[in-house]
Amino acid sequence: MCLAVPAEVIRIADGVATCRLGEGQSLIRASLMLLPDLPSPGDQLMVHAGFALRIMDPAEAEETLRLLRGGECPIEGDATACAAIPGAPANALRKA
Amino acid sequence: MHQTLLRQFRDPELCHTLLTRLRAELDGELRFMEVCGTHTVAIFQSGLRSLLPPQVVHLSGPGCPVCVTHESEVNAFLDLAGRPGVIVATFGDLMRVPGSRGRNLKSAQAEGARVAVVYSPPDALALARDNPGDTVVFLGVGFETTAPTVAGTVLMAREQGLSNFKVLAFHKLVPPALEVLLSDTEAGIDAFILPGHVSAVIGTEPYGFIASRFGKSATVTGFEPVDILESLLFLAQRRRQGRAEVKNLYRRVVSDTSNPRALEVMNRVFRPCDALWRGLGRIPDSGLEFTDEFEDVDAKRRYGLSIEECPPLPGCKCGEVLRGRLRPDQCPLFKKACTPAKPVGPCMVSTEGSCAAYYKYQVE
Ligand code: SF4
Ligand code: SF4
Repeated sequence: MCLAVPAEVIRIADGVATCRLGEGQSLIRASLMLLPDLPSPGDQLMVHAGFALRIMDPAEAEETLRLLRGGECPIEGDATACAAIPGAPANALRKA
Repeated sequence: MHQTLLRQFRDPELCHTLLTRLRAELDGELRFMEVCGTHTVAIFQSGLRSLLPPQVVHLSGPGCPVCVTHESEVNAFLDLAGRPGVIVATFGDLMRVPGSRGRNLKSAQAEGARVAVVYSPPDALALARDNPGDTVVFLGVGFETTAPTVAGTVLMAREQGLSNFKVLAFHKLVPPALEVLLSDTEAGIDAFILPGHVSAVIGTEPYGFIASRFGKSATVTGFEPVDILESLLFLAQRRRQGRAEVKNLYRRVVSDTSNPRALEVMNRVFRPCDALWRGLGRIPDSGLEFTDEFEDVDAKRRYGLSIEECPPLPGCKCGEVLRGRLRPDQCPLFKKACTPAKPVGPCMVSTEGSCAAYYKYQVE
């Protein structure tokens, strides 16, 4: 039911972006009301139900692929929360 | 450029490498639940499910807004449809979802109710503009991804002075439902793949409790095979290490912090309230109702709709399926009385429902 789709900004007018959907030629309109920052033409947006929810970051995509191909997955650090799994043997706690 | 980049997340060779690493990492059964219906479909459609090692047990959770819409809420839709001067505007997926007596919006439409299928809440607003003599009521379902879009539309309606646009809001919030699932020991969920686009709005912080209080790991991830395999590898690795962690593996779209603008709009229009979930029952503070400032938009109040808690449909096991206690093909009605052409429960209605996915992809 909820289909968030990536779409590329073609032009912006009155707080609404006209975007190209995926690889096709179909155009969609997305309100920019829910974005904290304004995108620019060429930016890739995550659009859901008529609204852009995020500006996508291609550098992050490239970084993910680089790490995975280099066998470094998954990266350590900056976790939202981290805890020892109850009942797990203590010596199981070792670094990846 | 971007499309070429996205295609690399389907690279068969990289998938193969990740699968090998996943096999090496597994030290027993890993029961993972994906919370989002789009992940369910992605896992089946990409063929990933049949490639996963047998120790990886895949459970489909309550992540489809259609599937979790309670029978009583569907009854309220049906109560509204057919009232004089009302046009119900809805996402198409809700048309066939049965209420407690097996009726749905499609049958209401056949009986003369004015029901319009729209693709977005702003489309419903346009309908209100085109029909000034009627009231257009949009059926608001969906999680933190959809709720801000409905809230944004409510703000647009006010700006444009359209007082004939109302919303019947049954939005639901994901983190409180996860708490219910985690407290249910019968399903034995080891780890979660969290809904990617919900995090585009709320960030990843609200999920911290999964690790800190329940000692389970979870990832926020995208919808391509590489995304899902990376997540499974991460979840298996953390378990082998005896550590629980919530991790954002969808950085190209999601940051750990929320989208403050979307949250601000959502919280101006809605405030948390208790909600009924199909199969999970009443969960405190897991739904959204209108704030006082927007009570004039609330179709519940305007039409005096009462949400009476009614019993589940006889024989339908959607509740057990959504909790991960039962596989769809273990439901006695699966493929017999219940098929996508003649669905008994919502999990067979929605294209993102787990019963529909099991049916379509003929899982053994
Ligand atoms: S909004 Fe997107 S992420 Fe959330 S449940 Fe729906 S498809 Fe999944
Ligand atoms: S197979 Fe049909 S009746 Fe059984 S749980 Fe799924 S939707 Fe419900």
